[in-house]
Amino acid sequence: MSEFQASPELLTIYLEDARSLLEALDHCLLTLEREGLDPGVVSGVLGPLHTLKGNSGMMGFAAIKEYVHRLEDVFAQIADGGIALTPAVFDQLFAGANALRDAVEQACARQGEARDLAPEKAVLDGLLRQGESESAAARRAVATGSPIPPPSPATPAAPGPVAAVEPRRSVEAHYVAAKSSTVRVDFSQLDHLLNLVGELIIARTKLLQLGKDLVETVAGRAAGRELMAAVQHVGGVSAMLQETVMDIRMLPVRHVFERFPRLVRDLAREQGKEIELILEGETTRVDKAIIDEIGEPLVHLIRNSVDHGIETPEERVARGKTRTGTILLSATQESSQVVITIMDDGSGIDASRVYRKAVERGILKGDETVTDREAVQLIFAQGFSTRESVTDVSGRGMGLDVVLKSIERLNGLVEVETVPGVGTKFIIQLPLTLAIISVLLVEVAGRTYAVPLSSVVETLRLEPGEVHRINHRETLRLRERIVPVLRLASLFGLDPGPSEDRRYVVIVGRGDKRVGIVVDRLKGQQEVVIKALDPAVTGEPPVVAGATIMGDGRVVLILDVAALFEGKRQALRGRGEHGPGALAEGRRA
Amino acid sequence: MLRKILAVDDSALIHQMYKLFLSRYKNCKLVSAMNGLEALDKLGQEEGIDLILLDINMPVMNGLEFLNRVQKEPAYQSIPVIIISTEGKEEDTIRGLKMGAKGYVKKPFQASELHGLIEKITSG
Repeated sequence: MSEFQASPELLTIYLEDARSLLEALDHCLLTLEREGLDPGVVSGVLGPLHTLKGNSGMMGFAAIKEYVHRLEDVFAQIADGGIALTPAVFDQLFAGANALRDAVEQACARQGEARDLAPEKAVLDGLLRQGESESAAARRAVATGSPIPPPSPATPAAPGPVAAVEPRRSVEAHYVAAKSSTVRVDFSQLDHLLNLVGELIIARTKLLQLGKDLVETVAGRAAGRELMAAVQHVGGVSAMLQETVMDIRMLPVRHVFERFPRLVRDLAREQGKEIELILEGETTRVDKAIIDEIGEPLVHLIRNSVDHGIETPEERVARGKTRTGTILLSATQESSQVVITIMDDGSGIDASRVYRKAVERGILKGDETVTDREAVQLIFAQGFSTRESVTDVSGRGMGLDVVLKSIERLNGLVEVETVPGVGTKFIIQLPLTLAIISVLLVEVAGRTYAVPLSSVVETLRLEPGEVHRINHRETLRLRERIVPVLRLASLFGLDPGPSEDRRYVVIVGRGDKRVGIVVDRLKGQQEVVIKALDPAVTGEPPVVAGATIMGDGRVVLILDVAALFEGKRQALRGRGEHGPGALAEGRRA
Repeated sequence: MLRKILAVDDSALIHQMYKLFLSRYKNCKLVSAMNGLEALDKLGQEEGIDLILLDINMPVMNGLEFLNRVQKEPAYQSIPVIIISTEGKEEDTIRGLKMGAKGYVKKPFQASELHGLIEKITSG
């Protein structure tokens, strides 16, 4: 375009549109590859391609526009049966789709076309030439009565004068999307809205308290009662408002899942494996903040299943399995959590091999005994990797420990179940939202802290003399276990006070591990809106996941339980030079 | 004097462009619809639309079907329609012109082309 600068805003809209249109293209190709020629599927992609062509033209991306234009022609030929859908053709089309995606991303990043699509366009031209000669042959075949596949029984011409004029419209009549009554909103605005709702809820709690105080002091006054009624009404409305805002932020996991069929297909082809990916529960809805974060760990787990799970067709046949392996990716909602499972019918994980490796890597001592189930969980341990060769697929230097970390950052859990020779199942549990969590409020040296309820295993009254020192570390005997003990007071550099008695211990868990946190008082549980804290405040290593503001306006820090486990050693050394203890000292100064 | 323009297109990008291109018509309200059906709703809700910019290839209800309905409705017949066409769909454009559209602009269009055509159609 010569008359205006493609503004960043326009580019953003273009890119967003283009990405979803390209997803449609991928989806169409995958469906065709799996289910064979279906004119309905082909026509379904013509609309998106047309829009992409128009948009690219408007942005002045001539090469992209030209390529998409060719692609439209190719799909029209495919619908007519002119181009036979052989594996080679699919490879060409998938490669073309990749190139197109690259070109779009680069053009947007550089605000101008950077990638040459000429070679890919030549490929399409080749397909079109081939298609023309084939459809001529097909016409001859019809004339002589030879059998060729019927075009499509399922494309009735749309009624009305429109369909009668142009034959291709019968195909396009299928391009029907649901009536849209939607509005595009920048996600940051929703974030802001949620923050405002959070403030409102804090104010509501405050109002309720004030209202109660007033009614008690100004006893029996009608105005007091009316005020209370109004406050309660505000409370009800703001609760509904909160629910609605949370609901608006939810997106179906389809947004993450839809890229995986393509991933599995490409990986399987690369490794000469035959894999079918089945998706279930794509409509399960999760907060967008989680959707944004969950992609990477899922990609990694799926790669793991393709790499290490599913065997080659020959191996599978030798083991009496079907040639084609299956990976099932499913999502379901269970109360306030979403459970994502990745299940494959591959070779499973050999617990004894994992054990040996863990000992080799120094993760386990040779004399430690663990159950098979425990041993298998070691694949998530830092520094563990049974990978013998670094393939292109998993060769990104990422172990499953990274997966564990990303899931824990989302306040989630990941577990693995496996049966050698039969298959492996990864189970990920995630909260539906990151913005609001249930916490246990505890008090230490007169200050209130919050512990995410999802990691609290139990709370106990601490009797004097129950804490013992083993190897200079404080521990607590909890039934048959020895649990390390952390003092919240020393963690934050507060004065622990003189007496040992009348204290409580909150047992938090991460997997099978437990840590006891010593506090002065338990103040009950509450739903809180998480406010992010600047890293400058949380310090290094962070033991604080965020903060929340209470009804009385006080800021309460929320403990990062996962970090407590990571930094356990330093923290248990107490006031050493490093670790959270030192951090807390610094903050007090 | 243009007061209200109804822009019908299934691309958010194109709507954004209209917003830019049509900002020169001061005091003119831009009404947007993502497909023909939504555009019919908007015609019912918004009074005094002076001009319709119409894309053809849209889901739910395409531009030609929309044009067909508009031409049958005495209340809307007289509103001038400009077809915004795309390369490779020349037959559609011709058909739209036969159905009563006043002119067309081909995507990608320049602001000046659109302005020229709008002024020609609305002044005459």
